[in-house]
Amino acid sequence: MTTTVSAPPTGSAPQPEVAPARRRRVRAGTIGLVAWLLGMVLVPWLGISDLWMGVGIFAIIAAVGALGIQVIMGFTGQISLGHSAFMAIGAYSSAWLGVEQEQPFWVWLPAAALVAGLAGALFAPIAVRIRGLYLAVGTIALVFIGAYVWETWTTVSGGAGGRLAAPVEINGQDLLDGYWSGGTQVMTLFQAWWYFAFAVLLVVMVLTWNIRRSRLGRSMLAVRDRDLAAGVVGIPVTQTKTVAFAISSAFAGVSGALLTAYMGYFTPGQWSLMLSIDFIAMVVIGGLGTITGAVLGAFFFRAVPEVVNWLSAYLPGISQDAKVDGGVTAPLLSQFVYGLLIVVILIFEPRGLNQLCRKPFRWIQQRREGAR
Amino acid sequence: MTLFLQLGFQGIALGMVYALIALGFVIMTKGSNTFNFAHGEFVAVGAYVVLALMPHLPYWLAFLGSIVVTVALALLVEATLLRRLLDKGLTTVVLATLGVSIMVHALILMVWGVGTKGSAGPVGSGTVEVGGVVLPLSGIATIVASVIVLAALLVFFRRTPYGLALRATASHQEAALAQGIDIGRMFALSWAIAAVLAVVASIFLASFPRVVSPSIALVALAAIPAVVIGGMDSLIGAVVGGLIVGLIQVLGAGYLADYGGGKLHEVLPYVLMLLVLVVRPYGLFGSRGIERV
Amino acid sequence: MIRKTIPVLAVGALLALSACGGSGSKASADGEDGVEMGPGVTDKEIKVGLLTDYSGPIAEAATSGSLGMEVKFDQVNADGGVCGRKIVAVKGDTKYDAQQTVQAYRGMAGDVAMIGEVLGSLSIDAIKTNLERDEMPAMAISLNTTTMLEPNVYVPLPVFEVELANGVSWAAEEAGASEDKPLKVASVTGTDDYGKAYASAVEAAAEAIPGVEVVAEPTFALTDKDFTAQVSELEESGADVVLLGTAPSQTAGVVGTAAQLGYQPTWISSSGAWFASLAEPLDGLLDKFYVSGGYGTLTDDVPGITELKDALAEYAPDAAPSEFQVGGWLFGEATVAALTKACEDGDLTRDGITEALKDLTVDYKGITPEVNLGDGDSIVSYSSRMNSIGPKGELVPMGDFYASDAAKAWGEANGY
Repeated sequence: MTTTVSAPPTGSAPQPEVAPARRRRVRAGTIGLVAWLLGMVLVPWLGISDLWMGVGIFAIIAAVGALGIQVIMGFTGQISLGHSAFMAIGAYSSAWLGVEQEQPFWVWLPAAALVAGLAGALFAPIAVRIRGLYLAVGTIALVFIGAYVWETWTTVSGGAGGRLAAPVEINGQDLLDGYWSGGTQVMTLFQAWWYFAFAVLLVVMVLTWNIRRSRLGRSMLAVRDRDLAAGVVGIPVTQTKTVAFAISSAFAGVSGALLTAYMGYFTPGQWSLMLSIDFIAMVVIGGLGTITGAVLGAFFFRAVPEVVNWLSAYLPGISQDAKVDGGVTAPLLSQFVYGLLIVVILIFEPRGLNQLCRKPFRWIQQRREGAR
Repeated sequence: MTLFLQLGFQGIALGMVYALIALGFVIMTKGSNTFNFAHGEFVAVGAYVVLALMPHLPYWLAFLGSIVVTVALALLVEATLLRRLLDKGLTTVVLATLGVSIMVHALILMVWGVGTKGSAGPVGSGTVEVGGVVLPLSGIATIVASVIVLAALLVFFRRTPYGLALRATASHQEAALAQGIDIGRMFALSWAIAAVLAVVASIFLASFPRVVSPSIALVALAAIPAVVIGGMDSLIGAVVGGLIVGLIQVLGAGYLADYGGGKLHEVLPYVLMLLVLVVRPYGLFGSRGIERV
Repeated sequence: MIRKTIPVLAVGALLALSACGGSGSKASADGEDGVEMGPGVTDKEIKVGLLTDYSGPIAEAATSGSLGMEVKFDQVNADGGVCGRKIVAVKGDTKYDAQQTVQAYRGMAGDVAMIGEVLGSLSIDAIKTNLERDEMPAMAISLNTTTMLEPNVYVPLPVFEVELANGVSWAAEEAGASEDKPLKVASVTGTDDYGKAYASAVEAAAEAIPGVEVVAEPTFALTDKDFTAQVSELEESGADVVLLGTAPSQTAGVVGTAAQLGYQPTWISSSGAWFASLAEPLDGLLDKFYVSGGYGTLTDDVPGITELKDALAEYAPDAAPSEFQVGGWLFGEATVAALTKACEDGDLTRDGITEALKDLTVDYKGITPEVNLGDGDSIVSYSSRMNSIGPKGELVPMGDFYASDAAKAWGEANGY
């Protein structure tokens, strides 16, 4: 076992720098947070097109799941590619409660968290035995076993053809119809869903923030940085990992329930390995170990393919026509750029967008301090 | 009994293809301590290049040409990416290989289109019959070629200076460094070998009656259970794992079709992978050293 | 910090809510020519959504199909469009992924008059409740009864089940099957619901024809790479005719493996199971391979195909010929027919187009017999045609379109 101790901490997350002027940074962070919150509240009324509102809602929902990955990977240092399986568990339990049992969303949404969290806790005893690469690759099994279960357990999943999702009803109105008052539509489906998803995201963000600051959060960080050493100094490693898995899976469950409720209908085919991979990409690119990073990453990854699609109309040499025999088409270019951005960001700013966004801030700060 | 033998032979042939792909994963893991998710796309590139060169060159030249292209691609990725990111942590490197995988996939579609192509195997559709069991030439070729490749790999690792240096690097980087081994070159070497294995696997993965299509990379990822079952740093493990997965898939399709919705053979390799991890968290033949977090 | 912000936020949201009401309700308006116009329609253009897979796993068929449809619109537009309005294709890439499909659909839904095509069962499933909610008329390219029965979804061509049932009938006739001279048939399908529907169509057709008996129904999982087990089961059963409800790569696997094992039945596939590119790997094995196709091919000498070829030469001169262009073209014909009728009725709203689709007769100009869309939940045509495979994988017709009694019996039994 000595190799384990002497090995470089390759699995640990890149540490954010400790800023010299801590108080000032906190203030900058507060301004940023308030600006972001205000922005999020105003966005639905800026006349943004349906397509982009849709992208934004998917991004908010993805951010919930990304925070789950942040807990297990960013805080605790365990790579899990099984996230989409736990999202599916949340989705199916919410759909069963919301449709078959006709429960309202304030029952099925927490229930999705609970069931998925329990599933995560059940898987944890296996997961804590496995380390590093084996854990990353081994958790892929969950995705495929999940896919098999959903396709075969047709009474719950509706088989390959899929099933209805739980509706979000507020005052007896399905949010997918928008929000109506006295015969006029007060909010479109996009505006209504934006706020609903955003509210859930805020709750999950606050929870994550509290976890990070608690004793549990500090144990997680200790486990991440030095697994064995954490055990030596009296941190219950197994218990910490188990709780982390449960919380991460619970967030995944909420994200899955939200996702399907917004889609209205869902099929077993969508809980793919690629979905899990997207979440890993979000938190690593956004910035491991931070709440901002998870949210930034989610928005970045949902928006990039559409941005490239939209930009490609103005680029020379990009075919707007459908082509079978090769050639650079907009969808292919957007796929390529998606991959390229992952690589480029990892090379030039492995601490993620979070740090990248702070760079200009810090630069200004340094200039001001220098001038003084 | 004939059916069993027939299915068994096909299972071994398919398993050997998985074994070749799994070996690639294992050698990269050993040489550079990472898991290369782009390996599936390397297999795809191998198949597409062979297919593109086949009409213009003798088959063996097309095969060599494909090896040149695929190795060049692997080395490019290794030099521009892997080496820069190695000290940035496992997560970063693994994610970077995923980014590469997405890029290469898009490139393949840009160059060759989204269509289904022909077969790219070295032998056609011929068969040999032995005691009532039909042995397709493609299956025989797969098995023979894999055994040759395996033997060559064993000799390489046991007998040649480069092979020994690679093993030394795999087992202890600092010590290898102290011995004057150029670690960077060892990383490149392991990726190059993996790329060669990818091309060999690709021509059998695309052997009659299978065809080359954009989904071939996903097929290659089906070798992942084989890697984990065998152990991520064990050459023998990769072969055993590959055979287990191949046999489960083909025998399962024959004997388990009436149970569990007819898809049990699709999921069993993953169930087995999880079970193996529970009992032996480092695979059947893996060593504990790789457990590094 | 965050805790304090939330109440502030809630208040802000409420204020914003009450301040800005009433956006988003899209009322219809009358055009200059008096035609009532809904979303996606102006005096100059009609926007039609195309939701298909331009870069995912089924992009080969999808992009060719989309092209066939686009050149149909180009051709109509060059002739002045539909009642003076140009048809504009709004393309959304589904990547054959459920979430992506919903995103693309929701992005265009407020802005199109109808969905001219949504391709593939996965994508259709993903948006079917949305289509119903938006009262959006849509035509789906997933030629099976499951799709056809979805609300608001029209399938304007004969479904695969019809092709397979007609295939059974043709095989029985060829073999002169009777009670005294039985014919053993088998089917190979996927394990999912669609596969089950195909297998049951073959069963029903066999039931309706004296002397035809189904002897084996092996299934495959979508990720299968080796088909020895399925082929062994077929061989064991002694089936003379095998109906393929597969996708093209599985067709290659099944037929190729059978040849290696020395089993050579008559193969009959639906049109969805064949790609021209399979001719190369399966060279020499296709003498007894037939495709039961619900519509014609690029080699036909009928006015519709001539028009298609002219349009392709004019608007997409670089595109390699593909039979999927024919399919896309036919969907284009059906879309144009629906819009034309809706416009004649003076109503280009979604309701108007939905109304126009009911009992709409579409003349495919000889590519396949004229169809009537009925109520959208019925088989539009029981006609298909048998084809053999030419040297380059092209379909070579062997006679005329026909509607077998077996197919009709299957349809009646299921209430289609």
